[in-house]
Amino acid sequence: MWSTLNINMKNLTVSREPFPDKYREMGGRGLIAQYMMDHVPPTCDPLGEENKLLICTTVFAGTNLTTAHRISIGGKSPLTGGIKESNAGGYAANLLAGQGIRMAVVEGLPDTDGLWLVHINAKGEVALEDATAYEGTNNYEFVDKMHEKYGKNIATISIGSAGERIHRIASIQISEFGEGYPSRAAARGGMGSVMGSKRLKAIVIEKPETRFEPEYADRETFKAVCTELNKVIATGAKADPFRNIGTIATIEATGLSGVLPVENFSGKLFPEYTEVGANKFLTNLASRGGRNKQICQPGCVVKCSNVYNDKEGNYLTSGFEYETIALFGPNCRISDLDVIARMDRICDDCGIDTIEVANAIAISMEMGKIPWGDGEAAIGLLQEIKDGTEFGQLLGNGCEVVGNALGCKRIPVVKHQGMAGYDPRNTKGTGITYATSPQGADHTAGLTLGRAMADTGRAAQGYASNKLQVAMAFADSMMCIFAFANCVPSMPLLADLMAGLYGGKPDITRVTGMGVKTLLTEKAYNKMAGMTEADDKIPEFFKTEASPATGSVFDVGDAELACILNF
Amino acid sequence: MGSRSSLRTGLKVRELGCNKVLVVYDKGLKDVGISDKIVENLNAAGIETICFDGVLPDPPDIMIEGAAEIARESNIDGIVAVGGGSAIDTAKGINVLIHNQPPIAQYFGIRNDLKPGVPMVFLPTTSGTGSEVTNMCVITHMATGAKNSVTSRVCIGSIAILDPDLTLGLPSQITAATGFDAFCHAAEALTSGHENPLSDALARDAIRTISDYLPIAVTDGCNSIAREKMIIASMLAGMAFTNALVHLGHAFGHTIGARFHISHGIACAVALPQIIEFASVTESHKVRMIGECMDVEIAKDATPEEIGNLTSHAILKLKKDINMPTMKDLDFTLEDLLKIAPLVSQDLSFALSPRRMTTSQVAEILQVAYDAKG
Amino acid sequence: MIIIDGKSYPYQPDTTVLEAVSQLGIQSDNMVLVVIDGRVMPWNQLDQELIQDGVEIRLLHIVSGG
Repeated sequence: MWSTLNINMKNLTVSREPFPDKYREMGGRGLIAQYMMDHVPPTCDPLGEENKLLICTTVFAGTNLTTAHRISIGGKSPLTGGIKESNAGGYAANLLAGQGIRMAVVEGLPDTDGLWLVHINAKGEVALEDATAYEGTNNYEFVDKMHEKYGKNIATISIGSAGERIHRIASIQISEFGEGYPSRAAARGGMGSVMGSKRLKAIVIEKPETRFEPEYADRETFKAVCTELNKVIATGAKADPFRNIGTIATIEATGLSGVLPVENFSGKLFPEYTEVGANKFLTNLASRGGRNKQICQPGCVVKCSNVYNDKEGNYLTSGFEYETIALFGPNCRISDLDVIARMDRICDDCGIDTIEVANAIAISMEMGKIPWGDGEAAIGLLQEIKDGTEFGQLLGNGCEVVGNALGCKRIPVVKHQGMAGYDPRNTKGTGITYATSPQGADHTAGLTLGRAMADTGRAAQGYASNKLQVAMAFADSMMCIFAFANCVPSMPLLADLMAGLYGGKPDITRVTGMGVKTLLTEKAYNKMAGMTEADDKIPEFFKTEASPATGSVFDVGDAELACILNF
Repeated sequence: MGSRSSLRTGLKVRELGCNKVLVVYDKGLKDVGISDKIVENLNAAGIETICFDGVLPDPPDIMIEGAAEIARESNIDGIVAVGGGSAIDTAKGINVLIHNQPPIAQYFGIRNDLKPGVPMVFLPTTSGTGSEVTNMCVITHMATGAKNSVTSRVCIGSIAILDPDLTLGLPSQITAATGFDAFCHAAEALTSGHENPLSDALARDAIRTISDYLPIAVTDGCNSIAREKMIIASMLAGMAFTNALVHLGHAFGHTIGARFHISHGIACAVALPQIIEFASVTESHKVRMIGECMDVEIAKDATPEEIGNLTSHAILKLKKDINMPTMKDLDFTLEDLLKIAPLVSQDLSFALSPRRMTTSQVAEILQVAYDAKG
Repeated sequence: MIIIDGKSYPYQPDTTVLEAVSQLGIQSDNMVLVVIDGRVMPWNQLDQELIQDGVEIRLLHIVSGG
């Protein structure tokens, strides 16, 4: 029987309880939505007593479905003021599932000063331990210390100095399978600050001596379907650029079409994008002993991760992704992949959302604080976050805060959250997703690039955003969206898996319904938290400034946005 | 264009450099003698003709593949199609397969990579699908029963000959149904959210003309002016939607047509007034254009809802004026109609709606359309 | 011979990359990455670059994003 790990930071206790039956067929984003609705008052202070930090894995936890062990971290976001599900890869979800833990709930605020971590040992015993020795320790050093203490067969979920300082864009870093680098980020929405507000430094999970086995309604059917679906995904992944190159391959699609953000979303083209593109990346990997086609969790057949080394062939960063490269790169007019890799490392280390902080740096460049394209100056700003300077504090609270402080009129946020690596004028469906997703400007909630008609047109973009938002809402409850993208032709098999694991009929509406229900629950939660249609808006400058690359403006009207998530 | 322009078919085909053409039509056209006249005209110009009279409505892919084999074996260097949308789409499908291997179903979608075919000349005898000027052909995929289309340069004709004389004998009901199809093309093209000033201009002219002349063509089929206006308006509407696409009207139309086996024009007409009213919330400036082209007086400060309401009433009136059958006339029940609501939202055209509609809103519209007087 | 996604095709001189991949129904489309001998070719150059005999082309389809 699955457990919930209850971590009570007020009483400083940790215990296991049976995982509630009502959430039995839920996981990931869907579980977070329902749990929040049931247990967390929508009007609570995100950094206060009543907010909870929820850590869970997918509906297929404990099974052999490839990428079933994504981790979802949720709560009320101190950045958006609404519901947040922040999703990451890494090893932790696999070990939590191995320990029989379906969900961890962190609640309350300690009455005393201190810092703690939760340790789950190989026997499954859980303890809340004093972590004051690690105060101010950033993630890489922290993970090294955990490896020294507990060996390498562990996974960590940790915050760095940014989370400890309760920066609203603080991430929670998850260690990768294998070397254990803390490079998988549950980045969006500032969940690291929620964890920091509760004075929880980390959860450290040892590989269990005996792996927990879930109960199957029909084990044989599940196994057969799972094998088939894993094969389908693996076959699709063979032609997937994410496997063959990495997510950086996306820049080859966005760089020439005006979708790639350039110079704080100016809408221009940046011909030097090739300096931070796929070919440069592959060349650097090959000549420096780096690697792509890496897994971040056991059993992944997509293998999109990577290890990126510096010029001397020493490890620099891993999980080096498109969004980070696009936003620290062309959006700041930086065309040096090594500089961006250093920035990625700093962000993973101190635990900060690269998308948010990169947007903040671009705004800083636009307002003349540092020059466009100056990589070292940008690294200097990141150092200010680490050092806790006055400007560093601003940066740590997101690009809207920085933009307002510097008097910038062009702040690319929705629901206070910074946009990702896609200009909404040139992929309008993605812009619609940014505007209407309950998660804020979140590209993973429904990226429509190439999915409808012309990306710069309106035709079918609203339709695509609606369909993809539903799909992503249930995909984020089941597996990694990259694996999901490769199983779309065999989607009915997901219904067979649900039936095999949980019983009942293999009905695809059980799957798609999960998506619709999650979205509606999130919307309802946000409404109760005080959000209105006014929060479903793209910043004005995207509507008035035509993208020089294409001439396009974001011309999807409010009336059209208002019905995107009607069901 | 113009009366007797079909008498220049042979000359025009000659000018295109063709010597041996496949003439494509259905048996109905043979029976009324139209196809024979065109064949004679071609032969008189020294053009050898191979005839294919097997055109079926909602052209099945197998039929097209069979015709294409005849075309290839005969080494034709041109295709002439005479008839409604089915004949023209059959010709286009044959042209796809002249230099691209069958089956045609593999080419469904937007295709920029097909090998070119031969010159095509189209003589529409309905007003109409506008297929003589579009870049797509709609085909029934017999293996699945579903309709799909090939959109490609290969589907664009070299010349369209719009001779209203060929439509003089068209029965009243078919005149109304095909004429309203053209109206839907124009109205949907104006409100798709994908339009451009060119498509808008074409659509507006089509709407004005159809509003004025379709009722005349329906009640007085021998009125050559009305027939001439309609054949041109249908062509303009076809050009408009090739640029700007269609959306909800055709989503409803395809579904209703397939389920209840009624003609395309009548099926698209079922919910058009309500759909235009729905679209007015986001496309009110374009719905205003529809209304004003139909001589509706709309106040400068009218709200989107008012604009939608006034325009939808004008469209309802047009339907009445051309004796379009109501749903009650067509003998299906409200219950039957509501059952198709989920299918409407699965039609490809549904995705192109400028304002997202839920399945329950589809059902509401069907209900309102059912109860509407017209 | 040239190889596209593991299959061999006859080499035709003066063929652009776009022409070579068009025979597989691939159109110039930024959602398909054309990788030639391990290098990604920008899609706006596909119709300018001529293929060489013996070249190996892989077509990678972008299905997701992130």
